[in-house]
Parts: sequence; C-alpha cells; structure tokens
Amino acid sequence: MNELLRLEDVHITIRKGSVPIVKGVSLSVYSGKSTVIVGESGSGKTMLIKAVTGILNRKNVLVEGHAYFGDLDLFALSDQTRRKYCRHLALIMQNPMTSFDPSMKIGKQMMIGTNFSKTEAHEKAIQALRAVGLPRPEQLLNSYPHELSGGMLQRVMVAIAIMGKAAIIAADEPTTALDVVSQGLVLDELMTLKNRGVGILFVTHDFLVAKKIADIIAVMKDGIFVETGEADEIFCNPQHNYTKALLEASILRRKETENVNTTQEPSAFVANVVCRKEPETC
Amino acid sequence: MLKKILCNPQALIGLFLIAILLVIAIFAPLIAPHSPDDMNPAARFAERSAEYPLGGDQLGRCEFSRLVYGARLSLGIAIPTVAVLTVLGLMIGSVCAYKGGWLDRIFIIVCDIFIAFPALVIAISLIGVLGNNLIVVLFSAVISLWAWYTRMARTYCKKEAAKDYVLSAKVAGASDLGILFRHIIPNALPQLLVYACTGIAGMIMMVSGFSFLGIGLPAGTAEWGAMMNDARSSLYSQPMLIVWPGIFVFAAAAGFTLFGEAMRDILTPEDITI
Repeated sequence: MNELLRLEDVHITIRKGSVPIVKGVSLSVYSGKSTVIVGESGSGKTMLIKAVTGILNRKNVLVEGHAYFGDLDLFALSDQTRRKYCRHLALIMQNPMTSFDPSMKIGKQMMIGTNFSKTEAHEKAIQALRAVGLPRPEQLLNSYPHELSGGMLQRVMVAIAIMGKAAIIAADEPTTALDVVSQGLVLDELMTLKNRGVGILFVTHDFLVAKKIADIIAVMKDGIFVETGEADEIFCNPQHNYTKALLEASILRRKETENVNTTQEPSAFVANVVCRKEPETC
Repeated sequence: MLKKILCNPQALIGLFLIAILLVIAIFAPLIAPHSPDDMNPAARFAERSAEYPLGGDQLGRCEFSRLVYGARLSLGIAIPTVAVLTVLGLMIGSVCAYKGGWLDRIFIIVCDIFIAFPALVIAISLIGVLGNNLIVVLFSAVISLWAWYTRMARTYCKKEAAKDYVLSAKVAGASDLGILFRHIIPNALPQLLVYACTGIAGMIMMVSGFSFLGIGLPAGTAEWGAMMNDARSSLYSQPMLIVWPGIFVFAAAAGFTLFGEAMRDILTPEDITI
C-alpha cells in the first residue's frame, strides 16, 4: 500500500473575519484505495478538497499545514509551479453540467493542459472514453457539452482524469447531481480506476454512497474529523455519536426509498440504460 | 454557422438590410447619378425625375446621390468605431474580471466617471478643442463610449469566470492567459457581440445626431443626420427631404439590431431548444 498524498494538520481560514473552516485535519490517500470524507453541508469538506487541488483563492483564504505529494509539499508551492503537478491530481466536480465550457467541443476540452500531439491526444481521448464505457467516442469528441447528459459528462470527466494518468482523483460529491443509474455508473468507473491503483479522495454527504466505494472513511464535523478508520469498522462499529446519527439517518432514508421502490415494477428500463455495449450490437 | 444564419429569419432580414447598405456604400460611385456635392440651381427642390430619382435638395444637389454617399460615411464611421470599442472593452473588461482586486476596482471607478458624462458633452468639448473633422468625431465616440463597453464586457466575463469550467481548466493546469483567451472570452463574446451590433445602430444615430446638431462633420457633408438637419428649414414645403435620410437611418439601425439579436441565439450553443 503506497501512500500518495498525506495531509498533515491542515487549517483553512477565511481571511475576512478570520473564520476557521477546517481546524487541523490529517489524512492519507493510498494508491488503490479510496478515502472518503463524509460530513454534512458546511462541515468544510469541499474547502479541504479545493485546497488540495489548488483552486482556492489564496488572497481570500489562508491555508496552513502540509499536503505531501511524494516529497513535495503542495501547499508550499506557488500557484504557477503548482500547475505543473496538476495533471497528477484530477478533480471531478459536483455539477457536471457547469463543469464544461459550453462553447468548446468535448474533444478540445479533453486536451486542456496536456502536451500530446494532436493525433496522439485524439487516440488517447478515444481510449479513455472507451475505458469509461461511453459509446461512440469519435462522435462524442465532436459534440458540445449541452448535447450530453449529466451522467455522460461526469464520465467524460473521469475519462479526462484517466487520460492525464492522474495518480489521485479527487471527487467532490460527483454523484449528488445525478440520478441513481448514472450514480452507479460513475461509481463503477471510480471503482475500476481504484482497482488499477489510482488513489481516490472522495467527498460526500451520503453514507450510502460512501459504503459503495470507501476503504477508509473520515467523518467530518465543523472542520475536524470526529472519527477516522477502515470503512468496515466505521459501518459496523461507529464510536462517535455523530457518526451513529449520520448512519442512522442514511439507513432510515434507504428504507424509505426501498418502500417506494417495492411499489413499482422492477424495470427492464434500468437494465437497458445500464447496458454498456455499443447500441448497434446491443 | 452559415447554415444557422440562413435558417434564422430574423438574421436573414437583418443581414439583407446590412448587405443592401454595404453594397450601396461600396458601389456608391456606380449607383449615384451625380456627385453628392454637385450643385445645380435649376434642380433646387426638383420633383422626382429620371435624372434626379428622389428630387433635388435646397441647394439643388441630387438627394439620391447624397443618400448613397451618406451610407459610406455612416457605415464607415460606425463599424470601425464599434469594432475598436468592442476589442478595447473586451481587453480591459476581461482582465479586470479575471484578475479582480485593486485593478478591477480602479477601472470600475474610472468607468463610472466616464459614464457619468453624457456622450454629447464629451463630444462637444473634444470637438470644441480639436476642431470639426471626421477623426475627432471617431475619437470622441471612442472616448465617450469605451467605459460602457468595458463595463459590459467585464460583467459578462465576470459571469463566465465564476463558472465551474474555469475551475476545471485551472485544475487541469491551464495557464491564466489560456483560460482568458480560450474559455472566458469565447463565452463572453457572443453576448458582447449582440451589444456591439445594437451599438452600431446606436453609433449611426449618434453620429447622425451630432451632424444634426451641427457638430462633428463639416457643413455640407453628405451625411444622413446632417441632411436631416439641412432639410429642417423646408420641413413643411418639402417633408420628403427629411423622411428619406430618416428611412436610411432606420434601415441601418433595424438591420444591425435584428442581426445582433439573431446572432446571440446562433452563437450561444447551449441555448438551442430541443
């Protein structure tokens, strides 16, 4: 188990009014493992992931502590030097519909930040799109973001991460804006990547999503980790009251949705949508 | 793109009007039967005839020829000025919007100061100091309007800069300049282009307005606004002399406005309704 990223005593403070958002957290991301941060809205999980990926405006936000990526402390780098390492660290955002430039074709957006030649990049893009199970990749490269569904865009985002050979994929609630079917597909892709040795840092408010993907779970509340540990441990034997409350709430919700589902027919529709083969051969 | 324009009736009407005016402006010497400044005392307030298709004006000049040459002046002033304004506005506005901070604040204050003065006041003072000629008119138009275009461009760029795809590009390692030129400006441009197209119409009317007030172009220039001003003295006896240039100003303004509005629909891909 190879440690890819180590956060040490990270503090994040809004400079204006010196509001503390994250108050000293430590966490590691390992290759082939997924580390999931679970917490309610406003607990500081998005800020943490933004700090790691380097998109916080440092004029307004003070980031202290260390983020070791190998021997390199990401927080100590200037924004300019940091961009060189960006490709090792991909970010998947919450809302796929706004994460793509509406005036640029998908193919072109996949090339941003890469320095491949045009034909090479084209080939790599098609490979990556195939890898995430998107049909007709050639056609996809020539379409605009608004022509794709949210689930497809989210998988394109994963494809971009694959293409850049990212060592770590940071995902900020990537499934929140998606329907259940697309959620499943995106999570599957992330699992496949994890099995290939990519380290995953996943942020979610939903314990059920966490359960599907997590190896290590950190429960965040008001800027600190109230509980960190192996996923099984946390699910079976939560120590902190907050973790217990969160788990109960999730399970309660699941029961509710299951009750609703049993009244509906098990749909062949879902099977159709989930089918990964090219439409012609399916 | 061309196909989309051809499928959009609004764009077609606008383009048709613009094309007619452009053809008239470019081939003015071939279309006009007389020189715009040729005075023929016998043709003073002449009736419409084969020789004078729209009659003669108060000095016996061919009204039709003057209108045709007027297209050259009006379009020749309005289009380049708006082009300069758009580029200038986009340059300053996008940098302000993206960089923010003190640079942004300073430019906003400067813009506010310029916007506080009406264009006419700036034009009159500049023309008063620098004299009455074409370059000064262009210059005063740019001085009085750049703040509007900059503010507009800044607003559009700011809106785009706040979107998630700019963050995505940053995470992917794109440079500031790359983000500005490849993401923010292409997305803000269609919206600004609409403003610019309607701005051309406004500019034609502004220059005409200047001429109408007797500032701007030298007396006797064949310009639509100046022609309307001259025709004022014979408004009741020869009303058509003021109507003809009015029709041309109207056609130009309508053409550019319609085309601009249609271009917004065409250039913004996500607005296509399914």
